[in-house]
Amino acid sequence: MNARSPFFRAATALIYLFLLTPILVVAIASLNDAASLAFPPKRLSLRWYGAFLSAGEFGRATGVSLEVAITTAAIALALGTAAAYALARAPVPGGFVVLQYLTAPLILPALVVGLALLQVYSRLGVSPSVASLVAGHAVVALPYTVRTMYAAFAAYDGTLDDAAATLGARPLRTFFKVTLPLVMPSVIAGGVFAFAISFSNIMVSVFLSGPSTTTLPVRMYNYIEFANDPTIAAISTVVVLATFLAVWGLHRTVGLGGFFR
Amino acid sequence: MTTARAWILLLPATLFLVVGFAGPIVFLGWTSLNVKGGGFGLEQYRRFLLDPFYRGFLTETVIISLVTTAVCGVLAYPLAYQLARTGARARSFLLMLLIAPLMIGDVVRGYGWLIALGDYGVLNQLLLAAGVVAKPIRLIFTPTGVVIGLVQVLLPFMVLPLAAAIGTIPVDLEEASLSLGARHGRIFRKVLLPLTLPGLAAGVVIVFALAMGSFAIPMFLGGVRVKIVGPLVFQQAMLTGDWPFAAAISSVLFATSLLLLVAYTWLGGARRGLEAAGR
Amino acid sequence: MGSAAGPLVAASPRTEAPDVELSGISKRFGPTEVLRAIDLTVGRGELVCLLGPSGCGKTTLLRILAGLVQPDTGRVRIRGRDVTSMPAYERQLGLVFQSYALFPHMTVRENVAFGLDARGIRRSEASQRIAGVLELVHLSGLDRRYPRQLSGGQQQRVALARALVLNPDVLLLDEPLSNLDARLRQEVRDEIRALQQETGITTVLVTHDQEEALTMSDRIVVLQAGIIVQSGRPLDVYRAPRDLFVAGFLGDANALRGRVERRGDVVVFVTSRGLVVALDASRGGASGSTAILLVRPEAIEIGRGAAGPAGVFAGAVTAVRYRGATVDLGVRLDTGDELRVLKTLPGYQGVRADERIWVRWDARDGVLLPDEAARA
Repeated sequence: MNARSPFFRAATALIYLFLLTPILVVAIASLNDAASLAFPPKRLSLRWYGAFLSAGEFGRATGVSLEVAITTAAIALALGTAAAYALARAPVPGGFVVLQYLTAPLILPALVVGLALLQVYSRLGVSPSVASLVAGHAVVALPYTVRTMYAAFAAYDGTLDDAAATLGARPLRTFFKVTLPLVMPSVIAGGVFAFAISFSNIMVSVFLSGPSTTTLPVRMYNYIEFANDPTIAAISTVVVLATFLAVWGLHRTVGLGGFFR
Repeated sequence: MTTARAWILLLPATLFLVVGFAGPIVFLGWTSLNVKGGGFGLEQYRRFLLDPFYRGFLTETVIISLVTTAVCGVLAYPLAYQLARTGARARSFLLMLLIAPLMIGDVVRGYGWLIALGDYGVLNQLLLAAGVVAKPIRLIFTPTGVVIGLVQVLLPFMVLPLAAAIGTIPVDLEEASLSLGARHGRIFRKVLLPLTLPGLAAGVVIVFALAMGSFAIPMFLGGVRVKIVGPLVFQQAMLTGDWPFAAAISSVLFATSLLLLVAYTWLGGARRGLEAAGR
Repeated sequence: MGSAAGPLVAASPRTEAPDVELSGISKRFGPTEVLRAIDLTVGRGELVCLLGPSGCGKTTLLRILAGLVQPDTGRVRIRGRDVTSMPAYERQLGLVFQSYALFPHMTVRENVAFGLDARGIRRSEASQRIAGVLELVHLSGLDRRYPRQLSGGQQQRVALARALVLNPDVLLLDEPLSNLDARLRQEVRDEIRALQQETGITTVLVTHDQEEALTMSDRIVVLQAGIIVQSGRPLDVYRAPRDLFVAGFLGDANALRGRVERRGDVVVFVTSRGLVVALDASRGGASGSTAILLVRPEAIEIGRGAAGPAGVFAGAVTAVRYRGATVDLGVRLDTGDELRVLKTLPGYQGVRADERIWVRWDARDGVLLPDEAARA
């Protein structure tokens, strides 16, 4: 495998193009003037963006998604950071097992989480709400924050904490004045990922959404079932742009190298 | 930090997963044992695993997952190699291209594929225009379509562990092989492949597990014609309302994934051992 | 590894109450016993060096003193108070880490101010103290720089300032010179010593470098495999090592194996090859016992030609190694005993290999050590 050969570069470029195909297609389709998904669009217009912006139900769904995503990110960060700190810096017997346990939801099917929670809520008489959604989303998002923060704390130079202690700082002060500022890039990255995972989640939301607490992906999914116009494409494109903006922002500020481990 | 204090920090997350994850799943298992007309039994499991109609779902899901995993394995190598051997700046950019689609979610991507693979979608338009085919190829609502969609969604999960594994192999090794006269193909077969096997294995486990449990892409691209377990669960739970049956299917899915998780953990240990030995 | 004198207490010669008292300290990490029953005191204003090879436990001892590690047994007393169970942030100590451990996200000023903030010292007083200590370490203009913008030597001074600004009871230094290049080392060594004497602060310094220990300390404490093997003033430890390990660790040494014998009125040392060496009357060992005679290379007098004054040993030069200001000569005596002789130039330039020479040394420069190999 010669990384420098033009053949190789062309091949990888093609694969990346494949990876981005649905996203590009969606963006282009959103500009179609006609109310169809025919491709390529014959005339271009932005009317579907207008349709999206004026449709109250999508606006509400976006609001729900935002609320759930922010809350999920906050909870996942808090729980994940605390756990990662303990696992990375303390001698916990069986710590390896605990780490696997906390990151297990990454592989285990999210759809099972959704269904399981639905059945539990129903049994307990819990009606759908932002909180019930957050519970499910946080389970799915927690592995991302745990992994990001674990890598950060593992790479952190512990002698800095020792130095702070010898200078008279109690553990809490050391954490907030020394440790946290130095791992802040990872905190931000973890938060962004948790937010995005929650915002785009369908597998849990589709089970746990209620009439007034429908998330954007679920609303979009329902719409696709019945209608065939590019409104969804417009919404999707907005989501795509926002996501790329966020990830690009991380790339420029913090760097995404942390995922390379 | 003392072990005691460490456990205080670990408790919230661990408890949360017990209450929000482990507990509900146990409850799900309990529900799956509910038999029609009250009482307990393994009827739901018998239905799913023994009834040929439903067993077809499991078989088809497994086959599609295997094919997806295989295709991912092949496509991932060039990307992983490039990722591992490139400079930090370019790497961050490439990671952006890999990770952003994950954050965008299944609905957008599934919808995109629907447009792209439709009878009048991008691919077919291109093929028709190029004169390769006379009429559009049917890709939506076929297993092939589902595989294409799944590969696109799950490829990053194969690339990342593989890239990490390649990263542990010093470039010197390849350069030494080159200077000894080996050509690139040989280097790949004899050096790269064997040494990155743990990374590949980890990626295989993850992709297979995720493919088995996938729901949105099969829903979009498979419809009712392609029999995948994920959409079946949704249909049984939300449309038919047969919760015990849906629970049984989910439990089988969960058990399979759990086994894969154990395999992954064991492989992760092997990979760490390899990395340590490599140093 | 025992010596005849029994377990060693490294006690300070100062008479008033010691600033630091470690009694019965032992520590085990897993299966390894890193420290065994350490007793050590440090007097007010003393600079004590913990010297030893890597793995001897000296850094662990320092960390126990600092409160970063809990000892398994024993007590730590600072200025009379038992601080053994006190966490690091409650002890009034300053520790300068080998890697300096400067906070990379803070400026020099903020680094130095960190401990003062932790104590809640008022801004006005803090500013004064910071300015004072920065001047003490000659870093006054650099307070707004970040650690990454400073040289190694400057970073170390920031670390020093950060510790000193808190007026600690004891200053602890972990291998302060190991990260500096050779040229800087001497300069910084003198600076640290001068600073310590100027402020009069009780200091414990950990190092594996014997030159550092010899030049900087009031007292050297030599550690090996978790126990103290010797403690004393630098010159005393150098001239009268208790065993071969200490002798070899603190400079070069010629070690001649043989036995002590009484010949009439006189007690002599006879090497295994038959060389008869007069012993200093006060150093007599038990007649008939096997021992090692230690002679420092620089203490040996050497002269050219086969015949010299009475009482010299004849031999030939086997190797000549110039070391800039000194020359290191390998010598084989006619009896077969091999010695190394270190001489300061000028004066010995013309010496060539195979040249006939004679050597002798003052009996008082010969140190008698027990021969452990024979005992074991």
